[in-house]
Amino acid sequence: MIVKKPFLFVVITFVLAGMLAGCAGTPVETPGGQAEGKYGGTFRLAITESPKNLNPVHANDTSSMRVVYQLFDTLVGIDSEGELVPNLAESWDISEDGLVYTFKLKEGVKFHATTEGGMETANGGREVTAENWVWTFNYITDPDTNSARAYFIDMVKGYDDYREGKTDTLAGVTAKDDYILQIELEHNFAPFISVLGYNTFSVLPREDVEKWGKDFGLHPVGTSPFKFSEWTQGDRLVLSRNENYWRSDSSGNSLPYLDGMELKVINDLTMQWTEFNLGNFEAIEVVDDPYYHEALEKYPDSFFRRPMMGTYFYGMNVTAKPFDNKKVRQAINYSIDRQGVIDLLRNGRATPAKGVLPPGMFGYNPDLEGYTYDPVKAKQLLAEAGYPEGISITLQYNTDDIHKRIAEAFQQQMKEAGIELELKHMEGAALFEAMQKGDATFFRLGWVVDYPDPDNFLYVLLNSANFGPLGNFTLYRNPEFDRLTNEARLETDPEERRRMYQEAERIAVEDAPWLFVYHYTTEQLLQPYVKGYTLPSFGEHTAKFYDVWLDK
Amino acid sequence: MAIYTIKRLLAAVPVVIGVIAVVFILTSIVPGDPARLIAGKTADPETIQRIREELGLNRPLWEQFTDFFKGVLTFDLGRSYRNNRPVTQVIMERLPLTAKLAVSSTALAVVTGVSLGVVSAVKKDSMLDHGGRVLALLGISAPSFWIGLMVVLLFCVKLRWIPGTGTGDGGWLYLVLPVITLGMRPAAFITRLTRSGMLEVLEQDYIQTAWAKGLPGRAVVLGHALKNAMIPVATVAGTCMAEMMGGAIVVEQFFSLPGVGRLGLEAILARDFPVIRGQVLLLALVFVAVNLLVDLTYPLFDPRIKYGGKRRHE
Repeated sequence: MIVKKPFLFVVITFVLAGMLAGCAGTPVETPGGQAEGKYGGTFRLAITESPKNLNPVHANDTSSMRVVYQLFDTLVGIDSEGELVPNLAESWDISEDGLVYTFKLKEGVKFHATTEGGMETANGGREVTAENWVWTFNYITDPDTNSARAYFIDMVKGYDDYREGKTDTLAGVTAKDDYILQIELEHNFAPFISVLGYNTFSVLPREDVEKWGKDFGLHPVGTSPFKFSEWTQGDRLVLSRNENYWRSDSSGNSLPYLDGMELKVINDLTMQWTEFNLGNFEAIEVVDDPYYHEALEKYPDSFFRRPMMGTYFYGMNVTAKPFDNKKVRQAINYSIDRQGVIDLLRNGRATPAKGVLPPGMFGYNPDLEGYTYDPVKAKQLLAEAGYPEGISITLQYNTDDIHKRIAEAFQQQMKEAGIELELKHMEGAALFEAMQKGDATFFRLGWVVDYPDPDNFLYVLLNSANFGPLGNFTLYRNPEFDRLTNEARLETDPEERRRMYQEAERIAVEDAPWLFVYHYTTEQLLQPYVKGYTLPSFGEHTAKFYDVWLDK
Repeated sequence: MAIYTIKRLLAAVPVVIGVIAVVFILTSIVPGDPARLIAGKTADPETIQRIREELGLNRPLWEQFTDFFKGVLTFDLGRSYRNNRPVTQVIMERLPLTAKLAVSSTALAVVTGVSLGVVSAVKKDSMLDHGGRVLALLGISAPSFWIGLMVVLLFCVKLRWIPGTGTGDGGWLYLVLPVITLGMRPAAFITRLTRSGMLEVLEQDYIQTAWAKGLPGRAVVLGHALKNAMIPVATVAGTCMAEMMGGAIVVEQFFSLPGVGRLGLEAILARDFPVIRGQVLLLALVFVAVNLLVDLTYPLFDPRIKYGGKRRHE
């Protein structure tokens, strides 16, 4: 095992106050000094879909995550650039062998004392201690909890024994004292810290979880700047200010500035845009393509855009004909004009994909050549592969207007390369099942990272250990790629890891189990009076509102 | 009448059972596994299996069906796969909004449709008649999403009188635009139906007699003619209302109203089988009830129709 001291012995301590965004505006006098922002106001956000489950251990869709991020806290945070930062752990230490993680917890962090408009919580607003974390990790990994993301930490010592009922507790997670939490791993796993930033691994108050049981997702209680207030299913969800929130601004004033948040379901994107223009929302989830240029013109300073850690691609089942031939897969990659389609159909709201990893992700290789639009070369490759007359293939995509338009554009472009593309749209649930079962041979998929590490792309989606529902829907297998992505999980030297992932990505691009299409862009349209907002590269749904304020 | 009603209710039982069976089978064979959807894009097979067990999807189909059927008899429709809430509660909290929409839209359709139809028939070939017919044609031809857009543009964006989406602050104003949008089509249909019915009735001998007797115009048109033209209108209005009770998906979606229509759509996309089954059961019951009620109103319009008794005129 390669061990690099500089990485392992680092004790990371950040001054949280320094992370708070400095915002101009009319300050108010408060006991703590001059506040950076104005207090008061409700942030009204139009969302397209109602959250499904607000228990962080079950929240794995963006609509639920958006709310979970306002209610709960993880040990480590992921900042807007995708970097790991302290959160409820103010620092951590990793043993030389990379197996023992010791977290120094922040003192004075309290669970919500009241909820749902004043009702006392079962925990009574007590402080979070290491014991809470121990219980939380046991709860997440308990087979009866059925958390679909528990396996993200299956390298924690005693995970299998606990899951199989051989032990009563998860042996690897222990409290050394009230503020020292220790996690031991069975084997080294370099992205472990990143994984702990995923919303599933948020601290939970045992008393409230036990009080509500399976309904905890309908009555969430956490530690974050906002408390759950009310939820009319399918309509609106209201959060109120947590007066005991642990973070304060740089002048020592309590946060958050906002009195609360109100998320309202507006399914229709035209109506989202209309209501925003009428001033009925501080923000809307999506600016639809027809209104994009108007939004840029009308709100030049409050329409935020940046590359997002996500990739849009078409997967090919490499065991099915004609995709079992590498040259065919390469030909397909040469047959489309990515930039043309992005400009024409997406208003330029994406970056053409040269490979798997999106810009901004650790390990992203800006020098990767990727595939250009070259129908002549595509034809030649098809001929070399034994298809001089061209091929006829069928794309399955989930029913959606944008997916349809893109696929139709590719259909036209591919004709020039001798590829007859038939389009078959399916309902999302049906396509999803077909993909997981390996029944889909050529399918559309979008992937946005769960944790900011190339492991979540390359290992999860293309390593042969993950065939089927674990993520490798293309059934791609390359021993060298597997070796690199396996070893990179254990490697602790960042530079060596970067090299391994770039090499693995180069192999994947060469083998082309995907038609690499584009990397997503994340956007957030706000009213000009919204201040202190930062758009995270992880996607607008992960934005935190503890220091957002309204200048009106 | 009571015997007729009981007979009709008993006859509805096999219909409802049939609907339950068909929906159960359809939801069971439709592609898309609820457990996989709950687990998310990637999950370990062990967890997917556990979720399947928790939802009871691993049990034989006949066992699931008998359980569901027993549940129906005890008003227990199971729990939603998505958030574990009782299906009856999930549906009942969405139903009042849809009921308000359906009843208001039907009322609007009947009032405007009958009024326009009567005026068109009485003033046949006049400007009023032509105008009414054009309006009716427009109402039938225009899709509801377009009407929705237009009324939002006018009342919400230009005039700023009425909110465009959501349920407001508990008032009734938010219902105005959806009700106009939803009521437009049945109103147009009822206008045409009333007009043609009235034209036919106005030609009848007994109407000529009424005129000859010197009855006032209002009594002839409303008291004698309209009453006889109302049976098909009542049938259409009833069917429209029953359909809307099942959920006006497009309108609820466009105006972001959390009614049963949107609930159904959400449930289908998430493969939330208990909610889908509960909703179809509700729809079947509503159809049976509304059809029965409509049939029971016929004697009000035509006393010759008498359930469970002898006909007055042979």
